[in-house]
Amino acid sequence: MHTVNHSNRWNLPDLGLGVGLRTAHFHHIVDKWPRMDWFEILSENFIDTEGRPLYYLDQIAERYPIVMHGVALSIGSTDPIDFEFLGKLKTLAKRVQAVWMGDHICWTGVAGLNGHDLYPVPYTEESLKHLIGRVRMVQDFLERPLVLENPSTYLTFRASSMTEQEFIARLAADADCALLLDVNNVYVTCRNHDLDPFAYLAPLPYDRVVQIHLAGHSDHGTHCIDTHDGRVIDAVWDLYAEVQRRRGNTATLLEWDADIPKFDVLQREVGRASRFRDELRVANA
Amino acid sequence: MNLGRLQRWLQAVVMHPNGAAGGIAGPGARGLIPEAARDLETVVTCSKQLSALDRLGIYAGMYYLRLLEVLVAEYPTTRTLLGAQKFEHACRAYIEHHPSTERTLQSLSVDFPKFLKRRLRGLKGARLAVDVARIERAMEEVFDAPRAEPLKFAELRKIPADRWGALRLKLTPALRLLALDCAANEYMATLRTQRKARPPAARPSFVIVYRHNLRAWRMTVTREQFALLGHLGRGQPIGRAVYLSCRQMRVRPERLQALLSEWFRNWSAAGLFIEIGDPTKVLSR
Repeated sequence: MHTVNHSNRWNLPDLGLGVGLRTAHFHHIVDKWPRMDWFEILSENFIDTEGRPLYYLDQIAERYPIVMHGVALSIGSTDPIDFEFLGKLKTLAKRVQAVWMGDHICWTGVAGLNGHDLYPVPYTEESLKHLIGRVRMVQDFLERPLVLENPSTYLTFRASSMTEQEFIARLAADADCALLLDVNNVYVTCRNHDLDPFAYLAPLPYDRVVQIHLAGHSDHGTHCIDTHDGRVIDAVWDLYAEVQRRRGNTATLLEWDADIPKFDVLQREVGRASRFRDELRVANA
Repeated sequence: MNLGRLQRWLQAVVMHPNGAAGGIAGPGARGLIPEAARDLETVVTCSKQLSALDRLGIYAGMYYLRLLEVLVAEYPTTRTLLGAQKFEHACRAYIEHHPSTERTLQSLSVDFPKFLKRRLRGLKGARLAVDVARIERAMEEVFDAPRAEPLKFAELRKIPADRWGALRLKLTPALRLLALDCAANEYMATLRTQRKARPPAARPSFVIVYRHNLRAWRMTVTREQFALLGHLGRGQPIGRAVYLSCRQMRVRPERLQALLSEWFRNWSAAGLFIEIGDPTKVLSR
């Protein structure tokens, strides 16, 4: 029997069940103000623009808690930290009163270029030291903990000397950062690297997990791609249940970024998570 | 293995125009990790189902697909005009020569119209394709441009007639003035209602693209209107702007003066004026 831990290192709240805020739903949301505990935004979609996206975001942020999640921080890159970009993130966080903000354990480009993809880092002592230093620097600048997500990966480096989950646990402890545990990414990564996803979950520091991601993916038989284009499969729900058992109720978010359905489909899909949360509440009553 | 070198190697491989295999064999990657070209598994491991090359190929494929998706979304009519295949080839060449250097994707295609102009030079339909691409790029730019509250025409009407000549009007930053080689705007309008449209003959046309009520609009204007807006955008007082436009167009001032009231009313209704005072910079050719 696992111990249920309701607190986290920063006492960040359990926001309940949320979905990613996407352009296709802007009008519906400000028209109907649908029931939803919170929204997560892709930070970069609201930076370097002052048009329609910010117009809607400002209104939505007045009614719902907003969490900022990015894809371009490139925390693992060996390029210098982009403080101008960080400044924009900080400004946006203030504007929407972001409950927390984060990105991925990855790099997106080097030598001044950006591939706009989440590239894996080799899990080595050198990478770990590099990331710890950068995470601390970014957290100092942002004046808040960074919430870092385990990415979906499609390759592994020969140079890696530890597992991804060990790397993440050590990074979180030594950089003193928070974690976003994407259970779909756990599934995809483990499928791609012939690993047991439940074994992956075991060594993670759950007192640092403040958010969980759910999503669909594409299964190509030989490998899976994290496409966020469909429903959450049963195997991922099983992982979610396991994380809930280990962590306790935690802010949970459904990502759906391609072939985006109507908002009520998202509501129903993320609502499936409440089953596990309610079960947990009953079990702990 | 040095982290920076490994990242530059991976980037050289996944961004190579001939895919991962071409990237590994290319001079960029070979110069960084020569042994990878001889034995890739010294750097990237295989899985039970995929070779190391296959796994790198996932990232290489996604790099071009992701950026191609952005260009397809931003240049729908240019794509229709060129045909999907020719457009994709042009996009791939553009991405190769103009890799992203920004954290966001807003400026990825900023040089695409100029690139198309060079690439299509001398080919049939090139002028129209470039003009359409310029309009579509301008639509993107005004969509993201800074927000500014438009001046109401009633405010302008309060200004005594004898002061109009010395008045400077600041134009909205969400405005682009385009001098084109073809009637590209009319062509695009026809394509909205019909599947096919006859490409217009080459003749100069003038289009303004602007954002109003959160939507990007485009409007064909006369040569005189284009000249006047250009001078206003460069910060000239109205009187001087009218004088310069007349001289440039070789028209008598009386002819323009008879039209000015209606022009200013329409431009004001379109939200083109935001402030009485300092000049603003508006792109023009």
